[in-house]
Amino acid sequence: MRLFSLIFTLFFCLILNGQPLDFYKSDFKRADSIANNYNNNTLNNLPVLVYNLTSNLDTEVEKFRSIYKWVCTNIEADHYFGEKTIRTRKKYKSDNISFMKWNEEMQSKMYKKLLKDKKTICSGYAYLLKELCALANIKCEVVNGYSRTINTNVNKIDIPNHSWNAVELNNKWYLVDATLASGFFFVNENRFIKNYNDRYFLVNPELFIKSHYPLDYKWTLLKQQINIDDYVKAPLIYGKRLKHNILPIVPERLKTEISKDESIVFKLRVSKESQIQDFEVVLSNGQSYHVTTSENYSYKNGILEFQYHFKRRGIYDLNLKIANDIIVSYTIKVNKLSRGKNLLSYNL
Amino acid sequence: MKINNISREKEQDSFLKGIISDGAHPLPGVNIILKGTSIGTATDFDGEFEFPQRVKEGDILQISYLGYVTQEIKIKKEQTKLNAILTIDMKEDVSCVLMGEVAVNDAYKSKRSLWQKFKNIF
Repeated sequence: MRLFSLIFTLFFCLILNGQPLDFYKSDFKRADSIANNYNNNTLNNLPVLVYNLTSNLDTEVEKFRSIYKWVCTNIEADHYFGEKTIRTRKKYKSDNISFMKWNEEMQSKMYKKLLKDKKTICSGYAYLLKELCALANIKCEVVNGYSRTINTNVNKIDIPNHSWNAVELNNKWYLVDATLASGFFFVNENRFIKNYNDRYFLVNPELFIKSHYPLDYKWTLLKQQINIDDYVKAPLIYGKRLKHNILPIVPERLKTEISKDESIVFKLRVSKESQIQDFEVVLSNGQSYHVTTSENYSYKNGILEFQYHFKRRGIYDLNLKIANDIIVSYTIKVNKLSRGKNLLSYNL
Repeated sequence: MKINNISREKEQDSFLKGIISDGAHPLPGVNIILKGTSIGTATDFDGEFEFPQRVKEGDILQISYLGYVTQEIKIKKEQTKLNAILTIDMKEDVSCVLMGEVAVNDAYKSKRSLWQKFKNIF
């Protein structure tokens, strides 16, 4: 009986991970095709855009889907404006008055750029989604907070740096992120790549909190409290983990210290055993890269477990990849043998 | 034939006109749409518009321009009359706080001190 309930729970978790909460993807075929019909529409006339996107749809969720999908597939992320905003936020971290003055000036520029080039930063995506929803009588709020990137909110709280949305459908609140769903800035080619990621639509709040920590805690939509300190110290996870349905479990921190005679254990929730052969461990000591595939692993109840042993001490960045997408990063500091540790504590 | 033309012009005259500004300057490109439809128009370079059809008392017009607070205006009886002119001030939406992040495909590298980098060479 216990086994049965465990399997049932796991099965249930998989459904939660794979589908938008409470709805099935198949419900959105019509909404998606309507959004697609108005591709390349301008933002010059928002009420008519909303009318076109929603008037032939019956339910609130379909109307929202159509608007959301249009925003995700038609608006481009403005990487350099984003970087500039982050730099300014960091600069004025403890000077709110100066920041708000800058914000007031830049706000108009952001609107103009959004209107003219359909290019913007997270706050523009969130703003536009809110405005379009308001025209369709759908309650949608902008949520500001901390997201974790390779440069910000890693191991320590830097600044609030991201905006996303909460939307009320059939009297229940849901979370979406149109910015991250739209695509990504491809560093190698210095341009934005449109690449719609459906997993940011009505995300399970328990998964969302791993990458989105709101300024106002009520927008986590969670009952349990999660400390922001634990949030910034967790391993760094990437958006693609949602696509591959993988949830890193152990180690719980980005930084782990071990001694040379210890091995480090990794545990991840992986939905399909067949995915394991696509796993890759990329190790870097800051100088050279080393790619390995682990053969010593176990897979039980949807949990993949494997160990890694470092032969030399040093600081290593360890990235787990699946099918060439990075899922999670860790930093592992390998110290001298434990004997050294004992000596040290003796001295103290 | 002539009489017919005159009466049509008269009818055109009775369409609702208006001027929209941001408080100081006229705003071109602002949309005026009958709520729940795609019927409407936009202001010209002088911020002026003429609604393309007759409005009834109780009709709701949505006045919208990206970056400005959307307004809904309920048509009053006197505004359905001949030569009625609507003047509207739009306010810029100042609720938006710039946060900044967008997605980038790059992997994390831990920051290392110079000494750690130096040690790594050996």
